[in-house]
Amino acid sequence: MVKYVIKRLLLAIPIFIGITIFVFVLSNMAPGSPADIIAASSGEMSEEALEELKVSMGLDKPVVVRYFLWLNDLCSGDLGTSTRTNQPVSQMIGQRIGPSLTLTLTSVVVALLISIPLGVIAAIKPYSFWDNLSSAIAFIGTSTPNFFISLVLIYIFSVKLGIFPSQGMYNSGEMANFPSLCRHLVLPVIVMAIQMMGNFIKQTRGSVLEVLNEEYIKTARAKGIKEIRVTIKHALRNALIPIVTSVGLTVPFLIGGAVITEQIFSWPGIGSLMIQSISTRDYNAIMGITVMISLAVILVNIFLDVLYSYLDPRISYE
Amino acid sequence: MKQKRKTEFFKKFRKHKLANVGLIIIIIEILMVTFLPIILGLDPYSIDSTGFNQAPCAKHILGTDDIGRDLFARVLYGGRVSLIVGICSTIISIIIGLPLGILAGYYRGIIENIVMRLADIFMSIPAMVLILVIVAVFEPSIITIIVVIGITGWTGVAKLIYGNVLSVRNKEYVEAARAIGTKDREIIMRYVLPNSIAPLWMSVAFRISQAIMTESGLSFLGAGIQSPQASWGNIIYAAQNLVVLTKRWWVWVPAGVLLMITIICINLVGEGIRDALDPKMKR
Repeated sequence: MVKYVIKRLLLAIPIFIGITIFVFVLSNMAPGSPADIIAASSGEMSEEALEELKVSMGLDKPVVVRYFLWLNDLCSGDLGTSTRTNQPVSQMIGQRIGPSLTLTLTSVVVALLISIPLGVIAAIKPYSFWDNLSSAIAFIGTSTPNFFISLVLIYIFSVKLGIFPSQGMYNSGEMANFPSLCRHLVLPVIVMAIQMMGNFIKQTRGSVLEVLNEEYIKTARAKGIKEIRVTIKHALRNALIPIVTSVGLTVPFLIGGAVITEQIFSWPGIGSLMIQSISTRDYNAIMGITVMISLAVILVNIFLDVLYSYLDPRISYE
Repeated sequence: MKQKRKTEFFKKFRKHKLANVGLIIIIIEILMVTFLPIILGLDPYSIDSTGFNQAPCAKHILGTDDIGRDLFARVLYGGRVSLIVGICSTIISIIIGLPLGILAGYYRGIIENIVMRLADIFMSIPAMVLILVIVAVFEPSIITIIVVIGITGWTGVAKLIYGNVLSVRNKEYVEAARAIGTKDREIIMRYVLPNSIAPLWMSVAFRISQAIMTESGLSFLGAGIQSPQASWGNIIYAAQNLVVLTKRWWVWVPAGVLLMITIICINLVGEGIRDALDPKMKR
């Protein structure tokens, strides 16, 4: 087991290096160096001062050297300084991780809590009312653009009914407190959960249907175990394994969706930081965020693979 | 043989009622966004100086936006942009992904390693984030948006084809062809490609709707199609302003509803194609 985890981590290193090269080259193709951007924002700056600034930022060195310097800093946790806020990028990301995780994890949990029962019912009674209902929900969930749902929800629940707030994590000037957080979470979580539910419902239905045909289910039934127990204990437990994979596969989409959702609801997470950095051409922040997000995707996938082989003993670690 | 397969496909597709409804709506929509602006002489850029922020009226069926441009014209032009972006970027994904997937699956070895590791790198960066970064570097325009969405979509196509080629390449008929000395190129074109491409056709419609969704999301964030060019996403962008959201529904609701209908219909067509091509589906 430990060997397997180490092997997976080692295999991830070249992919991670590939990502850093890709991101670095890409942001170096941008017109105007970081020094030019600072010069432009500070107004008048002489040619000489600009040259000096470039030297002090290490921009006079060749690209390859700059890449390795950047990678070296990156490995020691230094993502550079934001040209927008003059804060260290790592610190900016650190402040935003909490809110982003709160939002995404809550959404995944909510989506699973709704999708798994719906998917199981749909599988037990195929082509019934519940099956049709759940596939309709799945279809509409995957077919509606999240920003449009967000606007409609804000219009109905924030503007017209005034039940749920539509901006930020807490009311402005308010201390962090749990009840307020929950009320602020409702709308963005609904938006993100709707998007994920489609996949989860389909996956649950499919894998439960498959498991229900297995011999051991027939055995359990033959032994006279109650149907509900057969479904939950014998079928669902085995059907959960592919569901784990489908959660893993949605992670990149989840992050993409979070970018838009966070922006609309002014959620102080990584996604809205990304948008702010892009609109101000803050390349240090853009590179840092992209690399960190990719690292998170890689690690989550390794974790889910390990979990997968733990849940299903038939899969060997080798 | 080929003809028979085709008629069988259409027969099965016609049985899927919702898919046909979707197809008809999409065709009507394409006709409308192509010809209505010409017939009615609509212009999405000209500014009506007599009124901005007008509610729907006889002169402007869907009202005007904050600088007095006719919203009906903009919604139609936006539809053109969305459909063109969706279709063209999917074609680009296929042009890149299909050959790479076939080469990786057929020749294996070094090519397989390079292509698949490259795909791993691409897939570890969430598409939306990657697209935003690329758009931040290269100025967004219709062309860049099409190319960028197309490029980020190649991994899905390549992985799909690669998996199928792997299972086809060891089939008896391929080995037989190889045994009688058929050239690789001919084996690929005559045996491997036709037998591994069906899943790609099944996914094409979903890829198009996904691309439309991505484009509108980008434009909504202000990182996609830029004004004065119209796109459904950048028309809805105006609703980030609370006054527009609450007081001027005619600005964002029509574009949003059309966007939703379009995606739903394309996905319905996609389900129809999938069911018609999938040998396991007997319904």
